[in-house]
Amino acid sequence: MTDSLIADSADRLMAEVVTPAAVRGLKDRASAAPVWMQLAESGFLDALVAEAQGGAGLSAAETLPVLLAAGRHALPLPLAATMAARTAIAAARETIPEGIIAIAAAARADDGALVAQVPAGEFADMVLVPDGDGAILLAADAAHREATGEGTFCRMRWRAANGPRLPGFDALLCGARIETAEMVGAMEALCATTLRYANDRAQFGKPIGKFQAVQQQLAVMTELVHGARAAAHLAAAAPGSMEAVAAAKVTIGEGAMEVAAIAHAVHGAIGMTEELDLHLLSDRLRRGRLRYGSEPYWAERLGRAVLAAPDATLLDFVRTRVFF
Amino acid sequence: MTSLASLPPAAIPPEDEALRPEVKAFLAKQLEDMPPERRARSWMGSDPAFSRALGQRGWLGLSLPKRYGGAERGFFARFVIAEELLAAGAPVAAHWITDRQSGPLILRYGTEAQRAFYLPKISAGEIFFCIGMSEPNSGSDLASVRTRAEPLPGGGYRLNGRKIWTSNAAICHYMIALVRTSGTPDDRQKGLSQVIIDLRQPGIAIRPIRDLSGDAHFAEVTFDDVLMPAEALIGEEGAGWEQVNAELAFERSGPERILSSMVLVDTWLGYLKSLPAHGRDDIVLVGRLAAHLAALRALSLSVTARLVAGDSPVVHAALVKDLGTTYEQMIPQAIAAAIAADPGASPPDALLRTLAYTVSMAPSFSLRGGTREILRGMIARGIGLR
Ligand SMILES: Cc1cc2nc3c(=O)[nH]c(=O)nc-3n(C[C@H](O)[C@H](O)[C@H](O)COP(=O)(O)OP(=O)(O)OC[C@H]3O[C@@H](n4cnc5c(N)ncnc54)[C@H](O)[C@@H]3O)c2cc1C
Repeated sequence: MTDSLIADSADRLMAEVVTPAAVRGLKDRASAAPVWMQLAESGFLDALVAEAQGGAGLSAAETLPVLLAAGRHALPLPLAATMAARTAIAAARETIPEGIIAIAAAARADDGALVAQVPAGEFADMVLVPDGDGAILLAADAAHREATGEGTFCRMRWRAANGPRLPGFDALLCGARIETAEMVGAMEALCATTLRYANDRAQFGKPIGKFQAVQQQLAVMTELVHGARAAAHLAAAAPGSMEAVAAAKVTIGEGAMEVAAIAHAVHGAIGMTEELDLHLLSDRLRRGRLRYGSEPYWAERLGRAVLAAPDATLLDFVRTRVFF
Repeated sequence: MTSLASLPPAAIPPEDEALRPEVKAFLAKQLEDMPPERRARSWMGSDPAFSRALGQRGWLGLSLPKRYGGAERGFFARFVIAEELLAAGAPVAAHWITDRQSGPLILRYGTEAQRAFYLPKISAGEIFFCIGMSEPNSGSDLASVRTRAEPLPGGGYRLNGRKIWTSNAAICHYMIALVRTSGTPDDRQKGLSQVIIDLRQPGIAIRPIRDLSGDAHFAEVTFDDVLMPAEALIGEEGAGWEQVNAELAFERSGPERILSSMVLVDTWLGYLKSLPAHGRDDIVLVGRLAAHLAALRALSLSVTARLVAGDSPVVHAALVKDLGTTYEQMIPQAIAAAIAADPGASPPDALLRTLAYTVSMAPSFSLRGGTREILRGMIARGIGLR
């Protein structure tokens, strides 16, 4: 499939299946099954799995449009995480389990139990949890689950951690990359929605988009979306690079705050209502920033790498460690 | 409503990337003894001999065809060389504008005779051009320019008027100016043309203007009954406005809209690396600087790919410039805060001087080449709001 074919079919799928009503339902803990079934039927689940293992063998960069589309519709289910997890499981020659797979951000041992922070964990059948220098695949049923109540993640506790191991799988890196891509999708949708609103809403006898102050804000929003998309492309092109993913998480996280603020400012009071879908997108950005480490976490990792590198200039570092 | 097309990611072709080591080696030698506060001037610091040395190496006129003395390598080769020159803080101002926009402009709009005359000298680093757009009463409102090139009955023009803020006018051989060739200022964009003015002819006075850092890189240029031949016209008479705007796509999207504060960054990093330990705030700032540099570079490369494809991505270029200069301006403020976070710290003098220069010039980053507000206005038009 070419880039635009993937983008078109992902867009069509999400528009049909991931409706605002469905997103609201999922946020209210409705069953994930109806939405998930249609996503699973789409064929995207094994898009990244190697051809030799029965998948489509696409790269992270080639499937970026799917993640962007998911973000544009604020999909709460871990479709992209499941895609990545299935690929890693197949690569480790383990059997791919049925159902929804979430990727945990972090885990710690606690009195012999394993406690993990799991974005979208409330929907998961299985969870890939960081473990040593890899990850371990655990059944969600075996865990005690405690949602935070605001959608960012679920705290899950396994008394005994038994499951297949995926050596070398960096759950945090993978999760952060996915999260940034979906955030960019949400930023795109916020920008488009806000632009439409600025053309429709009239005050002082003309569309508010005719006022220079509003125009300048929409211009900034457009810039930030383009910058964020460029960063998401970098991370997608180098999914194994801490530096590339860190660059994306930092810049997209910072841009997301500003984009959400402008979207709400331009919408005025109507943007504060439950009824308008705007908050589904701005809330998606809030969750994205909190998941898999926020900007300071990734900036610190990146900063340490810069200071430890022998490069003569920051440009040398960025050129050779972020661009591939 | 129109949303602005998203640009696909672009990479520098390997044959262009291959230029980098040689440029680095050359610069390491040339700039060995230049202190960081001088290198911080970047594309505001000029040295005609240095520019000629680049020309001798074939590193100017990279996008120009071989038959005009160019390297016929295209915009990505130029991108690589520009990045290295800017990161190192090489004194490139003498040839910078010429190489970036005057050469491509003459190639695109010039007659065969004009191309054959100017382009080989541009590629050799023998002649330098400055840009005469702004006037005392025409800044952002460029269409209001009053400098007038009056067509003469027997052909040719008589030029009167005044240009200001002209970067490097004093060391340049030619100016490409936007002037009125017909109508009145009320006609706005209509009746404007671009002319190539030989700055060494009678009737021209160049008065350097000292800037707040103590340099005098820009100037006021007055024209008093300057007689120009018909060949001074570049492109079409009356098409000056369109031509100027096409030129701005070259001017706004390149690495110089991202890297203006890089010498300061690297000087600060050098200082940090010399310290035994680092505070978390400093490390986080270093990471942020790297992260934004990466994203901006990716965006700038995407726009460069559009130039390579022959497009004139004016709105995307405006977008890169606004984001890029915001980054360039954030840097000196953030580093100032970091350096003095500990009142007892004693950073090297060279770092403090580099910081002082960069802080003082930073406001100009979002003025030169079109102000922030004007660029945002262009983007607003690009998304259908105006
Ligand atoms: C270092 C430096 C080098 C330069 N080199 C050159 C050169 O080589 N050649 C050349 O021709 N020019 C050059 N310039 C001039 C530069 O192009 C102008 O400074 C720029 O176009 C702005 O014009 P102005 O300074 O007259 O500001 P003004 O146009 O007077 O603007 C002042 C303020 O008003 C705002 N403003 C103006 N109009 C609007 C509007 N419609 N809506 C909203 N806000 C508005 C501006 O954004 C700005 O904030 C240089 C400038 C600098 C600082």
